[in-house]
Amino acid sequence: MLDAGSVLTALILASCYAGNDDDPKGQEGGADQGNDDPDEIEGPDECVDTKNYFREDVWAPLLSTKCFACHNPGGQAAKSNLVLQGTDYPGYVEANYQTVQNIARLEIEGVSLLLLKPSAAIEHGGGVQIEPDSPEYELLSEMVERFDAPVHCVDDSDIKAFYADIEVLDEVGTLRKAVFDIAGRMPTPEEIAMVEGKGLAAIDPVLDVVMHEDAFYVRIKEIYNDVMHTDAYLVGDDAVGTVDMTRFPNARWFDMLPEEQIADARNKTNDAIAREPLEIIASVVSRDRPFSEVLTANFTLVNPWSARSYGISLDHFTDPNDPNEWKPATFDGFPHSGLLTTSVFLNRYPTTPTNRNRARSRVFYKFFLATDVLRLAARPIDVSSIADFNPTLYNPNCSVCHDYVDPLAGAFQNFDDTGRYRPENQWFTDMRPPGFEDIQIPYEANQTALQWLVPHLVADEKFALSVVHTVYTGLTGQEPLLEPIDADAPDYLQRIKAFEAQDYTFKQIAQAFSEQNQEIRVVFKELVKTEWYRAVDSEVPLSDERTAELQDMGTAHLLSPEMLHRRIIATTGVPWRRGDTSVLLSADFFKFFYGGIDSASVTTRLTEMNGVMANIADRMSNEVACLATANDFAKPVDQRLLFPLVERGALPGTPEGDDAIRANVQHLHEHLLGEVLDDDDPEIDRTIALFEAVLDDGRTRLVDPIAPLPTALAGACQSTMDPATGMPWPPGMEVVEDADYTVRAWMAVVTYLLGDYRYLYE
Amino acid sequence: MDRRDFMKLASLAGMSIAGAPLLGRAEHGELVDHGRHQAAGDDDYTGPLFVTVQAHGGWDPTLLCDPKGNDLNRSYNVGDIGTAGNIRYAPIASAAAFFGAHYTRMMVINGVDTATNAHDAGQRNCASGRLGEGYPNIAALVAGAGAPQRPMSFISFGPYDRTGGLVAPVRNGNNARLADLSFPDRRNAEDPAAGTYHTETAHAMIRLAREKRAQAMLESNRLPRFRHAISSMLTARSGSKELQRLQDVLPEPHTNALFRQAQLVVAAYKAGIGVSGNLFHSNFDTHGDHDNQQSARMNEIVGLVSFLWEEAERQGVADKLTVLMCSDFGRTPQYNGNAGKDHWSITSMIAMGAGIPGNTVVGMTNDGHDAIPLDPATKQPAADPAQGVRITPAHVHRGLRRVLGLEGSDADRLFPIVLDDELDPFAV
Repeated sequence: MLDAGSVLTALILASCYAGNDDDPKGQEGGADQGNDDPDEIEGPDECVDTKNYFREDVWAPLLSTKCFACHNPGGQAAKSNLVLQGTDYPGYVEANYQTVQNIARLEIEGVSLLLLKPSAAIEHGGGVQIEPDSPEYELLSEMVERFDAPVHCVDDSDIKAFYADIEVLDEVGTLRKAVFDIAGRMPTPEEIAMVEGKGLAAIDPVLDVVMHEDAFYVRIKEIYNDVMHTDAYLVGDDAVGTVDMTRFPNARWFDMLPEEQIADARNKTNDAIAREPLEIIASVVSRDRPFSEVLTANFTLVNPWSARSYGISLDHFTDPNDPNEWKPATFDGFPHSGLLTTSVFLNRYPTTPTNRNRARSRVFYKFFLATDVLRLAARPIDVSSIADFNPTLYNPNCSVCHDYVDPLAGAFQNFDDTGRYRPENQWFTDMRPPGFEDIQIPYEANQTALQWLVPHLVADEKFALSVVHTVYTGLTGQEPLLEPIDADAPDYLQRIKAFEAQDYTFKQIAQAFSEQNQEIRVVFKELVKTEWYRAVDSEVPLSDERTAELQDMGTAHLLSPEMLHRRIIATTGVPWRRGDTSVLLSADFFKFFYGGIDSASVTTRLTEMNGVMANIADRMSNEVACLATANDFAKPVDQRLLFPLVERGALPGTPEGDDAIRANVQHLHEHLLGEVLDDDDPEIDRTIALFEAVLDDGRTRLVDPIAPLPTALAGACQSTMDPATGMPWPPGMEVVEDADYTVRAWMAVVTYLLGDYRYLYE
Repeated sequence: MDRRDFMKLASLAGMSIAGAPLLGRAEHGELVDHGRHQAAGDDDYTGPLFVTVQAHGGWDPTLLCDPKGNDLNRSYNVGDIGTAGNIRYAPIASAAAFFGAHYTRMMVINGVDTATNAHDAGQRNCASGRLGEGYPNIAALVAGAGAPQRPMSFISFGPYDRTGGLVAPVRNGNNARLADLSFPDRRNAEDPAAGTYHTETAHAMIRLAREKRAQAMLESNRLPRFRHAISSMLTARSGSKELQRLQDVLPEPHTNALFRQAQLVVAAYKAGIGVSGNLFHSNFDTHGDHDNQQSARMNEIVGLVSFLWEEAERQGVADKLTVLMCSDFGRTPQYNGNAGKDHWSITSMIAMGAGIPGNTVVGMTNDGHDAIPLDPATKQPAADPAQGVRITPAHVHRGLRRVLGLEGSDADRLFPIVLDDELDPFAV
């Protein structure tokens, strides 16, 4: 029977290992290297990958020689359902694998067509091509079995070899990176002490605490919005517009308020409805529930503002004016299924009378089952061959996708094009029955089809894998590697190695997630310990082939506007703002120029620095250095982030001055860039050289007889009040004058470091 | 190119096959051959201003450049079909003006077989000439081969805008902030007299120290992803000063958001900081109320392209402009039950401008809007359809690369378009 996942991803339904290190075939991943004599069949004591089996034991000796002559696009069987491609077709092996798999799953009285046809047990234009008791028949029979239970062989020595000689962050470096990625802050000295010298496992208890902070829930909502883009509705009253006004006639309750109150109430209500899907996610995670509950929860979440729209009593709330108080709520007779049945999700992914919920099905596969159905559609189709009645059901050009999409689309049958619940809707008789793989939604569950089916979906191992993929992308900005399908591509071997290594690693993590009650924190903790996350360099020179294998090793990703905004606050103590506006988060300023999204028309982030972004980074480094330097010097030394080891006015040329300057430069490299350098490192020297050069130049110009520089700092760069309180500094603490130019020299150093690769990337 | 050469080239170029690094000159201190329009020194790029215009969702060519007027179109009859030179067009509101003004610089390519009904695959095929993943938008290819270091080398307003690592795409934001971005060292971007955050000398010292540190990191790190990130940052910084030039040529923003796309792309080229653009208009996926919705979108997109030409004329760069209009796929010959049309893999593409043979139509469809196979030598219907060639986006892109001077460049070789026949729509 059809196995939806095995077409694209190398699923381990039954994984096996090729043997121990003494087994040379094991060193090659256990793959059967081919069998030139079709009369011999390999014994069962070696692991043979299903795809390799197809390629070497079925396609090469059998299909390409006996079947292809007729079963090709121009052959006598060109109109049949088994049309094989030749070597001139890109990815022909993968294409033929899928085609043969589609045929194999069709059965008559429990026997696959793949066996019935060539043996002429049923009508076959080519007559008897394979005798029922022949070795060829055995090969096809085993192929059918393997389609049913795919085998993917991985020798973990292959995996270890792939990760060999990769230099990775130590536990402190990993902690720093992980805490920033997860909670947008730097680890505390106490947290660092808990892991330093104690190995990677010491990170787990620290991260367990970090992942119960509010910042983590903000982050996880951000990660999942990057997938679902439901924040598209955070505009005007767009989210309110998705609410079923027939069921909830009071949705626009705010229109009845006095005019001066309408805008604020409308905005709060709209935000609440727009954020329902993400708040469900945050709630599930914060209550340590199995993550699948984000899709299976039999309630939604409301705050006092959206409660009013839904006609729910405010008695449930402690503070009816607190938009951060969220409570579970159910609607009478409505089959809730977590975020899937929120109005914004259903409207973000609408349907039409001809689409029949296929779009919703497709996104469910993509978001929650780690399957991009559209990748199946990258196969060329020949429109002239689609002359069937109901081609989505009968024509292989169409059914390659629709076999997956249509049954799951049936689960959404009760929700119309604008997401309204319509229990009276019936599924279409000219489409596959609603369900998923072998599971059919029973007729009696028709009115709650989605609610009935979703628990089965989240039990599929692809759900766990989808969580790993989403968290990985959220942490690193990178998509998981795709299994290469073009065997003729010049870098195919390297790409398949990389894919298999990463896929194996991610599936291990998915398994751990499933075994630990679908606790999503497990995924974060395991991912940050992988080489994919921690890699920083190679310990050995790389050949061209090894370079190709390691193309995607490590992160090195440009921080998003949100993450850069957080880093600035965490490391300097000051936000980058103009007035009350955070410039990296505002569409009016630099959000979109710096690669941000609006979840509506701009849904993918820029990951490459361009010239515009380079200038934004330069402006940031100038402005923030101006804001932060004097501010930091104004604080008591034990409260400083940037200059805990030097006082302004410390000049080079004396042992005390030199030591303090060097020590603080060393501190800045670690604090701002995560670089732990020896105090005689060339980079420390480079930074000190910059400090001294700017200092010398400035001090010379201070006494220039013609145009001396002012002794005072420029107004914006002075520190006259505590930014945390808004209160003026006590007398003597403000930093206005800079008669020895040291503040400006440190500003130059801070500018230099804030524009560094290691500050802008992670 | 064989496997070994590919590995070597990709490795030299610091390129990521799966991801996206740059063919940047900062990588290895010598210029990689980018094609005819090689960037060097202070940038002497004189190559084309190339613009893709994508109609997102799958447009209906029978409502533009491949009119039928039979049962395929309820909104007009055969007698209503217009002509401009050799080009026939559907009688939508803006068509007469559009084709009348531009037919002499235009090639219409009908009967293009995208071989897909899927949006993602179709957009890729339209913009890159390849159905499968991994190839850059041709506008990115032009920018990456020509002048990737320009600060706005490739400006994109929508999908499909993958770059294959050849160039960093630029998105638009609030143009009122461009002064801030053009003068990042000034305390007040609008007022030079307000001074800079550091002295000019200090700013120069900071820049030099950054560049040396980045070079040192590049030389010491071996992992391709890190090398790529550092390299792309260096390349981005190398041209970022030139952003100031945009201020001198950028016009007052048009009230039409679509037209603002064209203004920015043309101005960037004029200022010497841009090379290409990817313009984007959506809502062509008309599964319902097709005639009204599709006609409205068609009028808007031809309006955009007309404005693009007007703007190029105004900025004095029209002689450099080459445009490719395309879409995910086409629409079905028949209407569905909602007066809509569904996905159909046969579509049309329109190329215009520098290097394009004007007043020509290549390819055709039958009355059922199915593609007619061509004789690749004559580009006329093949005597034996079974021996003929169906035009694909790959044919169009291969020919365009030749027209744009990219054939044989490293970028072309890294992303080859390989076909079994020699059909070139643009070969005269």
